[in-house]
Amino acid sequence: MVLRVLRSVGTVVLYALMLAAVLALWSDEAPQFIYVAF
Amino acid sequence: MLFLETWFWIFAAVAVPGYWICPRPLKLPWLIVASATFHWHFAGPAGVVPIIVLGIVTYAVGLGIAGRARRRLFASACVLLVGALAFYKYSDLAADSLAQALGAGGLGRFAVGLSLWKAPAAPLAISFFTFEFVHYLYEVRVHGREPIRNPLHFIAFAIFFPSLASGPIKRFPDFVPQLANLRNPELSRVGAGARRVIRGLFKKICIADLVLEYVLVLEQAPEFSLPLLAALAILQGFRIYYDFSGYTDIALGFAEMLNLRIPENFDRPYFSTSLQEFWRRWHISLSSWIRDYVYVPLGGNRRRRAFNLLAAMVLCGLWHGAAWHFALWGLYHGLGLGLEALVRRARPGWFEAGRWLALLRWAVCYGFVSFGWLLFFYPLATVTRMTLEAIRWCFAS
Repeated sequence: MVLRVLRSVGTVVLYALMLAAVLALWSDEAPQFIYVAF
Repeated sequence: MLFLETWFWIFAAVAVPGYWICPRPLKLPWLIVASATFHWHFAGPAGVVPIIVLGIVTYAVGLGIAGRARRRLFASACVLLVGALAFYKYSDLAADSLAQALGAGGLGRFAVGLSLWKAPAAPLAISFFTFEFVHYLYEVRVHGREPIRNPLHFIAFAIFFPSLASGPIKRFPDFVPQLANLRNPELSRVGAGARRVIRGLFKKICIADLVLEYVLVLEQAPEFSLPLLAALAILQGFRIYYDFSGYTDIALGFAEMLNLRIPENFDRPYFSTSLQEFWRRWHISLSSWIRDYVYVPLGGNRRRRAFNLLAAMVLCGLWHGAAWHFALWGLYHGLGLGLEALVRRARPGWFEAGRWLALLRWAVCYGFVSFGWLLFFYPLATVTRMTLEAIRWCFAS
């Protein structure tokens, strides 16, 4: 039970950090996805 | 910039919750309107009209060939689809190459018109549309599958917005039955889809684009040593993987939030211990398409295996872009796969289980694939120069 709660909290924290990093590095001039050109 | 454009996120904030709110009979029309809006915004009229024409032809021919021996109709539709792709994507390369060949052969006066030729800009995702349409017609004609009779189902299959621009390439027998029973996803599925979208964004923005910064620095090296060349090849490999698998994660995440399944594209390809395994785990929806609709119809393993393999891989390479280095990258992998098959036959023991043997196989495969990325990203002359400089560095040090 404790492990499950810890895992859920860990997942939320991890994804919140990933989202924060994405927003921090977000740029309107980011390079296009490579495969869109194909 | 598709998924990285502010417009897309405003669109998604309306399209996805709107789909959940819609009553069941309206979910399909909503999905179509959302996908058409997405297509129109990113492709514009010049990109949408040719796809509408090709889509109408494919739909009509699909109904026309179902259960009947109309080989010519099927062949004509395939020629039209592939011809449109060739016209938009490859006519510039063909005209340039022919003009150069004529010039070299002393027939320069015939090359003037050719070198002036400029194809109109290719409609967004024309290759992906072509793949899905050819797959559809082939399955109906050759495997006798029931065609899509409901035009709304066909439209949703053709322009489903998460996979519209760069796949994954869908298979209609897997996708279309889901359209008959559209339901809201469970909350856990929405969460899983949202997490996948975040993972995709992270891969693209925080890994691939950052790796690109290092690639740009390495490309400026005045002379390449072996470690520098290896670093460039490995970084390009990481860049393309995180870029494309990031894109795929976003597409799959949105599909999941709409409670629809589309195929996976990657299965940890850089952990492969053979080239055969790599191609089963890299851009899976493309490699399986090439296998089913190019390699097998050419004869597959039954006859002219080596030719079929090389032809399929060169086409796979050339599909990535209208430049000869893409074809060379395909040829390189085709030769690698052929050589691996020969070694597998001559020395089956090398492919048996065993930790050290597997590690060695992984190193060979990873090295081969990584060097291949240089051929993928740079013209042959550049790769040759870089490689010769690295070899010179080895002998000098």
